Amino acid sequence: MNPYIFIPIAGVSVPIVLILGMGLLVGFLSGLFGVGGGFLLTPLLIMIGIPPTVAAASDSNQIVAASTSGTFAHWKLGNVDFKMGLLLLVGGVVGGTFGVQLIKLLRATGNADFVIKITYVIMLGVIGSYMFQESLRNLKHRAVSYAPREAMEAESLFARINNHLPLKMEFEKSGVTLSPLMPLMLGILVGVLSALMGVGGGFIMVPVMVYMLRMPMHVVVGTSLFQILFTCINVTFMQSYYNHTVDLTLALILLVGSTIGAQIGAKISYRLKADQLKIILASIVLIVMIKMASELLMHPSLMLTLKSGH
Amino acid sequence: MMRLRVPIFLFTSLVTLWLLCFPIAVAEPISFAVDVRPSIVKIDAFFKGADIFVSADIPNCDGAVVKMEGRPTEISFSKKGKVAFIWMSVAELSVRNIPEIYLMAVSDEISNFCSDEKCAELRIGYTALKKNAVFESVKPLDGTEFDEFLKFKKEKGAYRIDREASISLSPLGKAKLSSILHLPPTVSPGNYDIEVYCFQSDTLIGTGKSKITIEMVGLPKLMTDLAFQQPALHGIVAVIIAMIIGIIMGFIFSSRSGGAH
Repeated sequence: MNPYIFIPIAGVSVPIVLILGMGLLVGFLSGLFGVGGGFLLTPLLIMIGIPPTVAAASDSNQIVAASTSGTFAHWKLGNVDFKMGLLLLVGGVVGGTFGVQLIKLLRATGNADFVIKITYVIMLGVIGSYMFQESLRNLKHRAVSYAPREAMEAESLFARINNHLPLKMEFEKSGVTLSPLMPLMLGILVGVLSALMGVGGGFIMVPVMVYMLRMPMHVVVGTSLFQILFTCINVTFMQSYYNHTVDLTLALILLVGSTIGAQIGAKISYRLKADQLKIILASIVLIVMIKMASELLMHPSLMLTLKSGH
Repeated sequence: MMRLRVPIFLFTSLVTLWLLCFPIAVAEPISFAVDVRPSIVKIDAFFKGADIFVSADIPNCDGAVVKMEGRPTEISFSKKGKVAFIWMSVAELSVRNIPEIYLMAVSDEISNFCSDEKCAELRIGYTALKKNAVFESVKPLDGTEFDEFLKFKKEKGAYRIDREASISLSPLGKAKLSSILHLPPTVSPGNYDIEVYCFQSDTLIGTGKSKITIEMVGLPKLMTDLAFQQPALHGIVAVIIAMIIGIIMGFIFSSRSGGAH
């Protein structure tokens, strides 16, 4: 017996076990890598027949639960850098507001769809490939010899820019000294991209924190979840108020699975090595990128799709 | 010769006049009762579509049609096209004067018992719908729009024509119609007409009609009312519930791991 549940806002009926399983999987990834999982769950929900707008909005709602649960777990483990998280959040809100206006402009010129899809594929491709190569290199180096990290850092463009920025501040939890302008600017950049791509931005934020802010991987996960929590609270309310696209029934089933998955993910993330975590996340990002690229290149089964907002 | 032509002319005129005054009576289709079970469909938390059983005592006929047609509506679509190897939305398209749902059960191929003209008049079959559908776009239409629209609707289960109407003859020369209509989960609440048509040699010889009510109840109704009538409260409730569940799960898991250590 496979009981179905009726999703009233979407107007579809789906197996409860399937929705619970999806929530569990995405929550697990959320706890493991500090990503909201929107980039993975929204396409999965669309695949089982949930309209894209309802899928994206309800996904944001369940991410609130998963990231609350994940932030709570990481906070107890001492993995949340609140100072860094707040700066990234402020930057993200500013960048997100700008990104929404940019979408309006692109829509007026009729290029929004193209820009959004291409941005998705390029961002996923670049981030996934870089993370994969870097993690693989680190794993190999560790086996042969320990390369001094400071030597590599000294040559990076980021280090040179950071040295020229004023108002240096120490982020004890992350173990880095930076100008607050740096996380603020990176937050703006991620905020713009998040608005363009319609996701929480965890899968962009995590590599930014690891490779540009040079934060330790376990602090990155907790801090990213903290930032995602507030972003998704804002998105859930806005989608519910303006578009009526949050389906609470769907979100409730998803979040029951995702909160349990997030706890399991957080526990496992603490036991795994940083490069192992990065290489798994890079593989997932690349798989999603390949799927999206194939959708852009292959003949679609349906030539018409319901017109919907971003 | 002249004498003969006058009576022929008079006879022809009288016959014409008689035909004009008393035309040959065309048989009106007879009306019959239609039984629909269930007549009220409730969309509750576990609704996954429903089967509607339709039966009627009908005149003996070649073919019968059971139809459930939703209200005429207008839908906006994005149309995909290829631009430099990439499939993307290339045009916005709207279609109007089409039903939101169109379910039909037939006893035979429609063309075997119903002429194109009659089908168009009674809106029976996809060809009839195509004639009435109006597509609009700022970009030129290529003629494939209705077929693509049909593909979209069929995939959602909102448009379907099944050979699920059967006619059984009784010894008294009467016939019994039994059929099933498959309601998809996407059906909107409201009142719908279930119409039955019987055809004999391309002529409509009998019709019947009944009503069905589809209503949302329980949790789906509560959620829909909250989402559309009090969206701000809905948004706040959605966030608070999500946070509470997240915190509860956090406590449960942290206390479990604490116990283990």
